[in-house]
Amino acid sequence: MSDSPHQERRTIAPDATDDDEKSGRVTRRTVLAGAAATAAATVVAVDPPARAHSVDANLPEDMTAFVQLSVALTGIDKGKLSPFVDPVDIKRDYFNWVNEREPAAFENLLRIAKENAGGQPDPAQPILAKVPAGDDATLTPSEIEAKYLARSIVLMWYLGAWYDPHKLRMSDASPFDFKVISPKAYTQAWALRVAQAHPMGFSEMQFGYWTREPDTPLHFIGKDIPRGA
Amino acid sequence: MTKNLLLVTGIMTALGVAGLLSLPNLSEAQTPVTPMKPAARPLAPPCNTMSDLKPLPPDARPDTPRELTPIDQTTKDKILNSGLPCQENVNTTGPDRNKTPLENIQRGFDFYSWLTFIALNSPADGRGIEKSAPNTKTKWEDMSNFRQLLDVMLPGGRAPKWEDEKIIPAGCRSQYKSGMMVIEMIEETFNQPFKTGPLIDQRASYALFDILMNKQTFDYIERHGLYSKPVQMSEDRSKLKIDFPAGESREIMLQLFPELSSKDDPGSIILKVSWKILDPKDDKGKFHTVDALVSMPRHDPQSEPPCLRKTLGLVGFHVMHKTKSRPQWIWTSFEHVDNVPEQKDVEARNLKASYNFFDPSCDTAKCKVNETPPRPWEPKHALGLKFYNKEFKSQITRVIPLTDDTKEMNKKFQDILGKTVWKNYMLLSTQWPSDFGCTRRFSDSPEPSTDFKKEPDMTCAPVPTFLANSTLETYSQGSEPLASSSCMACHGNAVSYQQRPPNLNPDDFFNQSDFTFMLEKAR
Repeated sequence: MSDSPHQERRTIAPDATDDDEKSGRVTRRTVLAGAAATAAATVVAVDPPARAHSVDANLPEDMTAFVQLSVALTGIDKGKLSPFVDPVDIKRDYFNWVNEREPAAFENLLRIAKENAGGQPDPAQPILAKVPAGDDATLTPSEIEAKYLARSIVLMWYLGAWYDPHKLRMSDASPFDFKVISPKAYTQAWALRVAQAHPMGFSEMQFGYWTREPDTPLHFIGKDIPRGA
Repeated sequence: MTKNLLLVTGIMTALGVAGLLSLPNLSEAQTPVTPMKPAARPLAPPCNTMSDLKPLPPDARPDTPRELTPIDQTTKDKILNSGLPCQENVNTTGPDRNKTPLENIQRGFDFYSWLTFIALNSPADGRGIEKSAPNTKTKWEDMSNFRQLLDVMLPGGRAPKWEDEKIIPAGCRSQYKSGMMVIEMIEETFNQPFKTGPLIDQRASYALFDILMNKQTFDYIERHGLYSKPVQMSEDRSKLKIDFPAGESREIMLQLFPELSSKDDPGSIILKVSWKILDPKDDKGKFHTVDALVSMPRHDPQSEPPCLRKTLGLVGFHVMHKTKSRPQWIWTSFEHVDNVPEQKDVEARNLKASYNFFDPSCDTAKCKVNETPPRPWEPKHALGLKFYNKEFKSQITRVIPLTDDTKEMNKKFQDILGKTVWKNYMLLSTQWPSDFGCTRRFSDSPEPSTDFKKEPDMTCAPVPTFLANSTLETYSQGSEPLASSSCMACHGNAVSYQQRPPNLNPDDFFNQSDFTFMLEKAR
């Protein structure tokens, strides 16, 4: 007989949101400023012992770490970034994209996620607290790489585009120097969903939606944002 | 499935209306001549509740390993005579621990699709499908089970009745014999979705398309007057939230939603089929065939449109089925195994001797792949159903290959279909809505029992994201968002002729036609 995926979903992406900042309450400001959140986090050493870089999107522990890291950086619900049944599977595209370009820094970030997510009901805050941030002058080279890669990952999820972390680090880099990762990534960019809208030229909302008040952010990003937040 | 032929708002207003205007005046030119005969056995209920997994014993522990339902000679008789599923029966688990929940559910939907295909294509007279000859009339070809769209959307917005006799165009009456299929050659009969062009087979004939609905779908249209364009546009209908009846099986509903009352009812089913005109060189024994009359477009106002008698071979078969647990409908697509090669087979030169819509001997420089025919596309009166350019034949390949899992299931079902023609058909895939958050809220919502009105994604994350039949969405295969065929993404845009009166709050207006473009054919 059928399982009830409807009920199963409730345990994976609970609709309820927590009330306080410690347990991960998301405000419009924090959602939109994932990169800023990383900047406010505590700085810790991330220089790992020298070894071959090897993370793999097909390894469940690596993919889980990437999703946890992404949830922490973006503030978007895990059930939205990585649905239980995920036909789009953009997370795999993103994982491979980053791993091909910045394997060492990426492995460092995933290590932070693995080391700080275990056993936590909401691993976002412990992970964020360990992602390198702050003034570059106070960071080691590896920490600087991880810091800017974290920003690239935030931008990747929100805009479906790749902002090279090395260029992000250059203060005079053009803010428009980016590459849309793929047509699929364009349709999956979260920035407009946070705004309860859709990417230009692509919408799966019901015909005539523009005449009505949009649904709550809960249905767009999996977490509610109080008006005015 | 689709960028369904029946079409798309903007294009319809310009071209579709012209097509409608060119239709013969059926009220004058046609008379009913065929008495209806009830099928010996209704499609459902009883509902088929078989699953791709063996049922667990009542006292089984929750962690009991699951086993696949065998599809072989030991279960052949049971499967081939199990009837029509009223609702899908799918699971997130399975015997193979390496399979993802998505793959397990997909296998369940594909199993459901094969059961549906077998039930609909079983003989209308109640025998099992294993008794079929190539030309045996199927359940869906029997007017007591399904009606063609143009028998519902009558001239002048006249009200149809399910009991109505078959309407035969005047030009066809002299040739008509009981049991014949009658197809009217309107633009949607030969032109592909979004009017992207006709499909021309290797004998230089047009492929033909047709749409049918079951009684539950018909009854909803009839009850709300949706066969009439003026009624759709009336103020009285402006608040109607179109919601076709959903299929349900009491046994499955008790598992999924025990708090709800339930019944056995197949709900709405819509079919779209494609036909190849068979000529003497074709092997008729490889197709399901019908003896058909094709009523051609009127070319001379002084005479009746010509009517051509043809043997048609089934080459494509779409099923839309709305269920309580999948209000975005379930989208099943089958086609003939000899239609086209997969693109990768072309590249590897791993080809059959011939295909219905591909010439293995033709150089790709000469026969460009997946290109639309040269214009004009409309059939020429003097040429009947042959394309005017004798040099052109469609050179079609399948862009997205079938998955290995679907191929494996196809092999099993084809094996138990034995020597019937039905072994020559294959499931391409089943598209289903995967975002359970979208589909679970229906029980709490007011009519139409869904939250489509405000869903950020009313298609609820279709799996697979793209699905195209090589004969029905020939020119929109691929995986580009918006540009490539996705059943739900396309049909989610379907609307009716409903209009919002000036005094009606926009929030109370919901012009969404429940994933079907059929209502745009109202007259």
